[in-house]
Amino acid sequence: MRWLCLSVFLTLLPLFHLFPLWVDLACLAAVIHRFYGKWETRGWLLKLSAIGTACGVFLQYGTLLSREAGVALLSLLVCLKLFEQKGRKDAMLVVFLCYFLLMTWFFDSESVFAAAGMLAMLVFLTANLISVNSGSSSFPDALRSSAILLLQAAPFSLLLFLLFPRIPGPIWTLPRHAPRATSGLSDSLSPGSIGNLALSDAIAFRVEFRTKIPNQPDLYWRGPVLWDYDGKTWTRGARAQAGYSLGAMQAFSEYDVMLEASGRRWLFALDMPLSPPRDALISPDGEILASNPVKSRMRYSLASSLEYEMGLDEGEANLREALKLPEGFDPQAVSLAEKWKGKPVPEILDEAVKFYRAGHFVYTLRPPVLGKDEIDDFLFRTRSGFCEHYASSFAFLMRAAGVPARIVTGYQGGEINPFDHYLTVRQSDAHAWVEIWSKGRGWVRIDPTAIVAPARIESGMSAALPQAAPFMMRGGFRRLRFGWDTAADLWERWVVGFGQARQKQLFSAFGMKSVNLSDISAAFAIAVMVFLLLVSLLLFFRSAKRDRVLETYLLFCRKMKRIGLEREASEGPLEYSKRIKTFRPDLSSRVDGIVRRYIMLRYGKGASEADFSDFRRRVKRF
Amino acid sequence: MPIRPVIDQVSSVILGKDEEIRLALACMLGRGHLLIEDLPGVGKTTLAHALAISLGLDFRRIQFTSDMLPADLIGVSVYNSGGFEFHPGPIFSNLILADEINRTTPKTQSALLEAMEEGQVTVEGKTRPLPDPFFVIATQNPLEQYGTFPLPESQLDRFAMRISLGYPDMEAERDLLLGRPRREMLSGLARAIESEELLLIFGKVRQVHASAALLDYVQALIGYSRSAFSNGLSPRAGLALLSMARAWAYLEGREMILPEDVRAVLPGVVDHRLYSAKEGAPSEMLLAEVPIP
Repeated sequence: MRWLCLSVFLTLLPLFHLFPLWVDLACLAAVIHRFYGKWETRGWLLKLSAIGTACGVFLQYGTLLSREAGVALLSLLVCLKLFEQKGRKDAMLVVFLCYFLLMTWFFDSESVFAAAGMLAMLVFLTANLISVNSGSSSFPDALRSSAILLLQAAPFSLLLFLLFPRIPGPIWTLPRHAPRATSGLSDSLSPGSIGNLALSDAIAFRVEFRTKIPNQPDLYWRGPVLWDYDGKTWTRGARAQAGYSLGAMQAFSEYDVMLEASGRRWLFALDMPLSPPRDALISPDGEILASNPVKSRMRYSLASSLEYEMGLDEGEANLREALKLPEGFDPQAVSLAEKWKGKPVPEILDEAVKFYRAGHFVYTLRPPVLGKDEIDDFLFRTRSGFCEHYASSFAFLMRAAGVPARIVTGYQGGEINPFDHYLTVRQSDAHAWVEIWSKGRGWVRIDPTAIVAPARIESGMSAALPQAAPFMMRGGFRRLRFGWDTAADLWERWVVGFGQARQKQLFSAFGMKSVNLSDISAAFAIAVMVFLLLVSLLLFFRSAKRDRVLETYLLFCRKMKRIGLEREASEGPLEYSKRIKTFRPDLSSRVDGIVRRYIMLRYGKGASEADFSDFRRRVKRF
Repeated sequence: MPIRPVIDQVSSVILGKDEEIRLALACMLGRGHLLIEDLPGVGKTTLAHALAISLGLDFRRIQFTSDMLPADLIGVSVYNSGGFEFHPGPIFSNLILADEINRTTPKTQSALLEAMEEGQVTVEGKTRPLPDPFFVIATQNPLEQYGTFPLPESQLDRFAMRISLGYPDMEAERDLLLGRPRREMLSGLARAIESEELLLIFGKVRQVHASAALLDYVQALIGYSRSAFSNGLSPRAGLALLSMARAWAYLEGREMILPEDVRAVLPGVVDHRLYSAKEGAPSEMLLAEVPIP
């Protein structure tokens, strides 16, 4: 009973964070009570609790049929079932329900950890099943035999994993109750929005280059392009749309991106992508948008040009947009930039760079709080900030000086994983930079952060701000972390992502080029049937060979039963024949003949084949 | 069959108890020790005596009392002109009748039971073999419990079989009343079998065939007893069951054991070994519940 409670508890453990608090508490209370308590509850109370539970779940979720509501209800009922344990059957039911609940772990996570935990639980639950059924063996013994059993089953499960027909698309097509919260780049920029991301070492995407990996300073991964500024936040705004075109392209790079689920439509590309991947479109600003929000890891192929000309013929309306400033904000910055107005663009840039260099700006993840005039505060008072501060203030100054400017957000840099040589881009690599427009050159990328903290661009985030790097990315952990990334990626691709396409690949590797789902299913079904047939034939012949004497005797017994003299299960042949003879003296000699031969064949020694055929003949003729 | 005269002779003394006589004989042919549990005066001692004489065995009767010591059973060394001389006790016989075994102390009981198991006794550091064959027929009175030392399970297990005689039926009782005094009859008995022949029979009993199907049944019985009773049958009990069944099959004139033979000896072999909270003897449950495979 205690082991059973423990296994229910362990099965529910990873699910607890999915449930509302009262479900957790109810489950825990039930399990703990049964772990320590001895009494069985009354039947009607149990039924009442079950109904109450169902009502509670309905009130909580508004339905009983959604995925979360179903799992919560099942968990609660399993806990209640612990109170109704009358025999082996009830314990087995709990274990089987636990097996089922175990599967629901995958609703939450499909990671290696979840799978490893499930395997361990599988051993544990099977051990429960063994100890429930054997009664005598101790639990550690049961654990050992369960582990051995499952190990023996491992080749079969591997075979099933490889060969079982896959359903296209995710198998969990139930509606989700609440969208999963994901972190990632948003489509607006305000002080702190990227700084928050910089602390996360979650992977944003991984890139496999088919061409040479570009230099670190060229790794600008383009995301949302922001035009509108309201004095606090940069947003994309709405503009007249035109086509996307590049000119004078050089230095091409080809790569595949494996983007983690972000819940948003942005696909990131190296500045500047040549054309959008399949099922995605590209905006005039070079942003790539997927047709649907990215809810699971996706892979896309891109080609980019690292040297290019863009937006030479940008429309007048758009350029006016790129000069707009909010009314009544940041007078100091405006007056500073107005001094530069009218000069040629390169000179304005020089002035600005000089200004930043002279100002002893500090690159930090924890900038002081800014007042209403954020850019004034930053440029003239605090002088310390993160990339969004630099990008924002630089774009502001450019606009104030009459140079069209816009902000591009995305990621910069990335690290090469030493195990699989993929470029790993993390959330902490999130970045913002500026593009300015000038006649004859179009939009040109300027990264003001590089002026203040060149190390950020040259060698990445962790070099620029070592103290701010996430714990796991420091020192010796880095290698470990990269190894883990590779393992997670392999798991994702070969286990979780082993879908129809990969299965087909596998089959074609064995020379079966054109197989489809129904072929696989049919072949699989046939294979299973043939296997079962073989096993049953084997069993049949073995038992037939061993017990043909008994079979024949049982045939005789059946014949006797027809005349109303059924053999008792614990009746020996002599007693039986004696009884038959009492009731049917007329059969005496024939029954004697049969029983004498049966005894000789089954209990004697040295009986020959002839004896058996004689015995069978007599029984058949009887 | 050479054993036939033995049966005939013993049943001429103990009237109407053919089944019990055969069981007792089977127990001896299977080289097991026998416990007879019954009321006084039903012929326990007479049966033992008659068997001993008919089989031509050297017979001693020991009346167990509460003041008996192991030395009274095994023997003592006595100083006799220049050295100690061992005077063997009554245990050095082919067949001993341990009358009222539960009246003596556990110490003496143990001395006897050790001899039963080992076939030898150790006196003053010297191991002395007992004569071969060596049988013990012990009797005890189930009713009178005052001042007795009941045998513990471990010692009961040494007895291959326990039987009880019971009252004779009407007809047998009439014959008994009409007939000569039993004591007189016993003194008139002579051996009914030669000792070489007896040894031959022992060999034949051992050769009775137990087929795999039969062993399945025996194992099913043992297995069932272990799940249905708090103390299941021991391996020694299993061996006893098989050798008793062999002897019974021999007495039935067969060269192989049938399930019927096992069933015939089962009550004697298991009833003193199993404790059942339910009504009825444990063997009845085994006989009814375990199907013959």
